[in-house]
Amino acid sequence: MFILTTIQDLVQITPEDFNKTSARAIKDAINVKYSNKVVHKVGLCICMWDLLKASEGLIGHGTGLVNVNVEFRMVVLRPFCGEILHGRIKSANSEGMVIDLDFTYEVFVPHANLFDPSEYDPQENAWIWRPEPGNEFFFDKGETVLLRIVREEWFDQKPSIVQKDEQGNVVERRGVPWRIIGAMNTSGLGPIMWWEGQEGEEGGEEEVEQQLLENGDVEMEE
Amino acid sequence: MHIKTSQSALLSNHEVYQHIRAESEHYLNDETANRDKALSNVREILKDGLRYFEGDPSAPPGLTQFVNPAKEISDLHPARPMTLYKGPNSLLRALAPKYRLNKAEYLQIYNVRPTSRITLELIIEEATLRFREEELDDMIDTIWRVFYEEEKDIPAGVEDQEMEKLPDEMLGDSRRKHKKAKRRA
Repeated sequence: MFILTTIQDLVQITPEDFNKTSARAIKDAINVKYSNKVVHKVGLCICMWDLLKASEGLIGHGTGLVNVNVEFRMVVLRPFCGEILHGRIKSANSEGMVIDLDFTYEVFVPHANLFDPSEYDPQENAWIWRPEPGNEFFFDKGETVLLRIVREEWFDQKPSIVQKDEQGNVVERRGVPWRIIGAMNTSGLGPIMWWEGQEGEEGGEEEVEQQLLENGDVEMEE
Repeated sequence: MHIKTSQSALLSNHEVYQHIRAESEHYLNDETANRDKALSNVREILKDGLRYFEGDPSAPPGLTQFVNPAKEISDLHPARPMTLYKGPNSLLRALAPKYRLNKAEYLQIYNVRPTSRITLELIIEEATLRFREEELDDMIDTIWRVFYEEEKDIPAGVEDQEMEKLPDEMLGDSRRKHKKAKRRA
C-alpha cells in the first residue's frame, strides 16, 4: 500500500523559519510542499521519510529566502494492482460503492466488480448480495471491508492541459487527479465479518473447479 | 522537482504507522508546530493516517470492531518494531525455507495478517495450484506463531544479528527473471 519515492528538489526556507534547526526547517519545508498532495503517476504523498542529501543554503538576490537543494525519500500511498487492503464503506449509489481509506476516498467499486448477483436497494442505500434466494448479505455503510485493487486512473492536472466537455466548452473545474478502482467479487472480499470463522468453505467450490481445469481430476470437498 | 526513483522501496503498513506516530509527536503535540498554519496539510494527513490505523473514535456503534494489524503489531511489540522483519525471528525466516512466496505476498501478509485460509488464498496468487491445503494451513499457523510470539521468548538483539542470505529461488523471484531472460533471447 505504501512505497518510498526518492525526490530531488529545491526548497526555500523563509526567514521566519531561521529559528528552527536546519534539519527541522528543511523537513517542514518539504512536508509543507508535498504532504497530502498527489504527484502524477507517483501517488499520494504522506510525509518525509528521511533526508538523503542537502546542499549548503544559498540566498538569492532580492529575497531573504534560503535555497537548499535536497534529495529525500517520501512516504507515498500507492496501492499496486491486485493488492488486498482494508477500507470502510463510505457511501453507496446505484453505480457502486465508495470506499474510505481515510487517507483518500477516491476509491470506487463499480457494481460490475461485486459478487454476482448483487443489487442496489435505494431504501437501505446499500448493496445487497443474494447468493441464493432468501439469503441476503448487506454491504452496510461504515463496515470494514477487504477489497482488491484492480485498476488506477490518472488525470493529469498540468495547467497547460485544457479539459473540454462534449460540446467543446472549456471545463474550468478540475476533477480528481487520481482514482482507484477496486473489486469485491471473490470469497474473502467484502465486509470482514462475513468471513470470520469460515475455514475456506466457500472457496471450496472454486478450488474444485480450478483443480478440474488444471489436471482433470476432482477431489471431493470435505 | 525531479522524481529520481518513483519506487525505491516498499513499506509495510506497520512501518508507516510507526513513522506517522513518531511524526505526530512533533506535528500534532508540539505547541509551536501545532499553531503553524502552513503545516495544516501535514497535520491533516497525519490525522488521517492515525484514523486509518487506530480506527475512528466517532464511528457509530453497532459496526464490526476491527483493529488494524499494523496497530496490533505495534501494541504487541512496542519496544522492538523490527523483530518481524529482520533476524531469525522474522516472518521471512519462518516461511522462506518451506514456501516460495514473492515480495508482494509477504508484504500483504504483514498488512492483512491472514488468519483463515480464505484470506490467505486471496493474498497468494493461484494459492490452490501452488500449495496443498495442509501447506496453506501450516502457513497460517506459522504466521500466527510469528506474529504473536511472546516478547520475553525472543532473545535480545536478534534484529541486528547477521544472517546468511537466503538463496534467491526461495524468494520466488527466479521464475520471473527466467521469463525475462528468455524474452530477451
